[in-house]
Amino acid sequence: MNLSIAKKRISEVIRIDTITSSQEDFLATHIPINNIQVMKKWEGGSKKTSTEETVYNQYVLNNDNKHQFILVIGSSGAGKSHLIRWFAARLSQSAPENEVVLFVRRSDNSLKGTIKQLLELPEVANIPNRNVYDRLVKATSIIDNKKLKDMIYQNFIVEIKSDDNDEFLSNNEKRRLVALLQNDSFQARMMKEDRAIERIYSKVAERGNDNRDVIALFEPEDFMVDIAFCDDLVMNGADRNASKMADTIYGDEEMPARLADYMNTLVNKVIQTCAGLEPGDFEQVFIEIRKEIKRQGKNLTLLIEDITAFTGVNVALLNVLTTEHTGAYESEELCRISSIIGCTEGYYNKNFLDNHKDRVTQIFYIPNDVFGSDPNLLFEFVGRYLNTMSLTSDIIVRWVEQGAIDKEYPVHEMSESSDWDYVETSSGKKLCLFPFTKKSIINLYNCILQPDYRTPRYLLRDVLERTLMDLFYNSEGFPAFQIEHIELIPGWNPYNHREYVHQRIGDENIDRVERFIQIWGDGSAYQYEDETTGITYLSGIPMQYFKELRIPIFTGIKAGSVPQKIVEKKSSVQDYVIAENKTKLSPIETHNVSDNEISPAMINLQLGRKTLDKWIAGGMLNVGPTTKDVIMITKARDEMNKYLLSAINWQVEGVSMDNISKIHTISKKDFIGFERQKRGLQNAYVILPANRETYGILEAFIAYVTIGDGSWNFKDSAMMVYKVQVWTEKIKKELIKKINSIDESFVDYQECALASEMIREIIFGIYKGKNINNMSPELILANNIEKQRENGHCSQWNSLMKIIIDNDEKIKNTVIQYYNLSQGGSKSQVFLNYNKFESDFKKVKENRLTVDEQVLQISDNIVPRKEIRDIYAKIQSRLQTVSEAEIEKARSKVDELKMYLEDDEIDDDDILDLINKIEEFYDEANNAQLNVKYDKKLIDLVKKDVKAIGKSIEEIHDALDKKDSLDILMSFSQDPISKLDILLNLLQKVNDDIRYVKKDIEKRKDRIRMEMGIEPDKKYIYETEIITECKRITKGWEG
Amino acid sequence: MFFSALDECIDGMREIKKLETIANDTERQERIDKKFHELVENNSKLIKSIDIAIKKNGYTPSYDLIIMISSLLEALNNIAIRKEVKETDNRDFQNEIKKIEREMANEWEEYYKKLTSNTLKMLDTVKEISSDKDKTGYAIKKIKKGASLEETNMIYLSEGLSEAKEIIVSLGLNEEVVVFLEKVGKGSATIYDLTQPVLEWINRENMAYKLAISFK
Repeated sequence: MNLSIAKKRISEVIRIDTITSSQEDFLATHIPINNIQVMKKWEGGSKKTSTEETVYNQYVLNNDNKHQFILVIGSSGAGKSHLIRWFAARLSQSAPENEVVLFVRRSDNSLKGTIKQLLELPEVANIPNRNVYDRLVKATSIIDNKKLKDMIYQNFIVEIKSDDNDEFLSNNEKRRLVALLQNDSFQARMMKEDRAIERIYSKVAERGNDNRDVIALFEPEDFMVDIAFCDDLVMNGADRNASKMADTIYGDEEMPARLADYMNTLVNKVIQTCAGLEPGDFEQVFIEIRKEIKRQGKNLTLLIEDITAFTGVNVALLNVLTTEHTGAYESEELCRISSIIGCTEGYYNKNFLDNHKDRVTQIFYIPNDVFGSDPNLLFEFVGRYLNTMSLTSDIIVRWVEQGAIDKEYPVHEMSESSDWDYVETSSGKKLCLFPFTKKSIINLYNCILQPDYRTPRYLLRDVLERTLMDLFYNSEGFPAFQIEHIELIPGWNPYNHREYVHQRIGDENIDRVERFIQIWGDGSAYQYEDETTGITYLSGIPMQYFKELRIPIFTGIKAGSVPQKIVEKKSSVQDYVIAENKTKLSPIETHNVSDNEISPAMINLQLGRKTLDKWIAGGMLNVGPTTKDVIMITKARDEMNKYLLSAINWQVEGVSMDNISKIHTISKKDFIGFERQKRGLQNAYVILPANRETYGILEAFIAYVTIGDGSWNFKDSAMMVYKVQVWTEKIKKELIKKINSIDESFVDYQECALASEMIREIIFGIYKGKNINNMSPELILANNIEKQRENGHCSQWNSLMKIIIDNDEKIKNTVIQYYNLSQGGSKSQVFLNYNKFESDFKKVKENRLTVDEQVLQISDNIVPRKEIRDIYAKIQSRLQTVSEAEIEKARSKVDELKMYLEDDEIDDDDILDLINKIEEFYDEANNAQLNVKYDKKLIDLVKKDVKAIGKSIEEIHDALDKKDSLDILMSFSQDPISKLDILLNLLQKVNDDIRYVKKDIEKRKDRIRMEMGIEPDKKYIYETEIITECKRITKGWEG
Repeated sequence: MFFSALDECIDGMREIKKLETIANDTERQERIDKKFHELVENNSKLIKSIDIAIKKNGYTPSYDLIIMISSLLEALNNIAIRKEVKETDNRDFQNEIKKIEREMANEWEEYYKKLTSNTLKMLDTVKEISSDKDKTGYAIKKIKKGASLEETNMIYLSEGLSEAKEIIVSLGLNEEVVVFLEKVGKGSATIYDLTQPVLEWINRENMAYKLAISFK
């Protein structure tokens, strides 16, 4: 490689979008694609594997002058564009004179860019209907990119509103969809970068930075919402229809897909609207082009790199491309067209209508792993790029000008290395692979590229460019580039050679040396000399390579023999890897490292140690589900936590198992974490320092999860176990103290639970006493959870009941489980720690159901404990208000009673008298035929509860004199108001009836006056006077 | 308040029911009311007669009689307040009044005798010697009217007794003669009562043939 040239040329040569590299560089880096699958139909047809040359000659050149509609199908980056561009390059050299070749590049991958390309073609310049094209240009120019995204979104809403098609969604569903789309929160979601609007926007906007064949369609995922989103809509007062649609999406699994399908029917219309196009514009342009070419006596070969560039007008495009020049369309005077179009599998499946599929004449399919079957092709691909960027462009231009003949292919001169691994082309050219070796190319291909991404594009971007940039600009640290799948890097072989190398290289360089040995070399520390060539190898790599790449050199372990290269046919990349791994070395010296057979577990242990080394040296310790080493550290930490859980007898140490459960099982809190732990440190109780002791413990647990595979059953484990046990005793005290504490105070959630439970017993009337000291512990332990029933309490009391009901089981369980003692770890044998329970119970009673407020104000970061404390705080904070409200209600009831009876202190005898009188009243009303109803049920209720009502009135009077909220609550716990209400209801009813009766009597008296002509009240008045006089006379007789 | 309201309603309902019942049978009720009125009036007359008897003639009704009269008045009053008099009520009252009348007649008869018999005999005795025989006859008639306990009779009785006294005084009789005549009226005069003044008066007034002797 010529580094100085390559540094300048790398950005010109490595272009992930084929079309943006120069024609010369394109040809210089081109390697033939030899595994093109040619088929008539995408599904069910026969396949034939061909080379690009065969395909070109047989189909693209079109010697038979046929109408052709050919698709080049492959995944993103598989090389479709590369192949089409190669076809274009070949056609430019060998196409017949009367063949017009139009190559529509992806360019900036927008509709505007594509249209521009069309208008720039010389053949288009002579088309008579200029106004059509002017409008197209104008249409694409007026779009304001800043507003375009919003415009696209709003146009979807407009289209839905005016859409009469109910094939996908009913009118109601469409109305709700519009409401949802108009919701700000949902719009914000839809506008995110990974959503459909952004994809569609990228096809319309002039951004020029997205050259991927992204399909501008909606996916079901674009519409998926979670319950939190649905709740937020309601909370924020969203439109009812918007909420309904969100709920439907959440509840109906099929709805997101239905919505996506429906919205996709509108995509073309929206894009055309946003681009200012009229339906039919695009089709008309192509027809005009074909007519013009026919008029010129020529035929047309149309090469379209990516059909997604025509998003919005793709149907029109396909219509015109599939229209033949003969038969029914002969009168149209269209030229013969042979079109070759690149498209992805996804696009073909989703966007091609059946009538378009039927008109496809050939399909060229490029499989994903184009290099998978031929490692030499992979090497040559890399070699050609390395060579091209090491040559100045004028040399390449000259070669192309001279016909780009393979035999004349220019090869650069090595500036940095004179003897490096190379690949030989079919024409015998040796292309240096510096800084790669064949082995490193294979390893990086496997470790960086996921199987679905093993395409030329990703190979260039993620392997070639990444490695070279690291070399160019980080030569002191090379290789230090990112490797996605570190676990796929071949391990140390033997695994303990790492320690050997580490000791000799030191912390500073171990990483780069290790990576170099593992990827470029054989993963060992062996050193040997090939007698035939005189080359000294270290770690399977010529010593010279270390020097060339400035990798620190160490004295290797002398190997007993030179590795035997296994000569066998390597028909695939995987075969190559297998063959390379079969080369084994053996030592001639005895070292302090063992010579065990390497195992993946040992390699993992080494990886773990390496991670620990970095940590000890001041790095961060990463945990989580990311890379292999991180996962391993996480597993080891998790095992440490599991171990502590089982190793410490918590009950004996005075820690409730409920506390442990809340911390470990429910909250997933870790007992331990590590200094400089990258994430989740707040989740740990004890932070272990980054020191050698912790290293040893962590190492032991890494060994436990790797070579022990979840056990201590491995060689040399005894010492590790001993270390762990000693360490356990050491941290136990601190750990227990922290588990049993909030801040510096002893955990109080169990007291909160006890107090909450006691309040529940009072509020629900389960405790019937009036003095908290008389509450028995049995009541707390009894299975007595009750539902909220109709009652006479105030609304605040009932609200408190609801709060309690929402949490009653949680509280009860906590009370019981906190004081449970498991016998011998058995969950079935459980006893009550009565002493502790009684002691806490007594304490809570003495404190009159209050918990130390200062402690309560300290936040507990254990969620289940905090939850209990929060519940208590919530309940406790309401007691004063509840008691005041209950008093107020009781007072109003007593006033009401007084209003009726002029006496609020009545007993059961008074009530019985009252009932008798009331009954007499109704009897008389019945006799007098008055329309008042004797409410037997109401009267029976009072009769039945006459004693209870009397007692309740007495209780209420007692309660009204109390000042302490707890005393008040206990006074009202038996709900005396409801009993009083029974009486008041009757009084109310009777009072209403009295009023009615009085009125009715008056009315009837009036009627009698009218009928009899006398005043009923004056009847016998004369007689009464006589009698009165007589009585007066006789009174005088008595004495 | 509640109790009184209930009571008020109960009474009101009862009253209205009665009134309505009454209103439904006006003619019949009018007859009953008339009778009730009569009974009340009669009773009143009776009471007033007794009252005059008491005041003018020193009559004292028995306790039982007073109770009977008071009870009757109470019953009448209650019925009047109830605003409804039934036929049976009148019947009961009538019976009760008759009972009272009977009792009262008995009591009065006995009292009347005690009150008037001596006076009447004395008047009979002195009628022949009185200067104005008619006046004495009137006095006797008036006293005899008082046998029937009626308001006007009681006035006659009172006047009769008063006039009798005047007649006897006007005769100017010796006190021993008066005592003798009283004893004669009672049937208790003896030979020992024939004192000198008495014998002189008998002879002077030629009364010997009018007086007879008999054993006790």
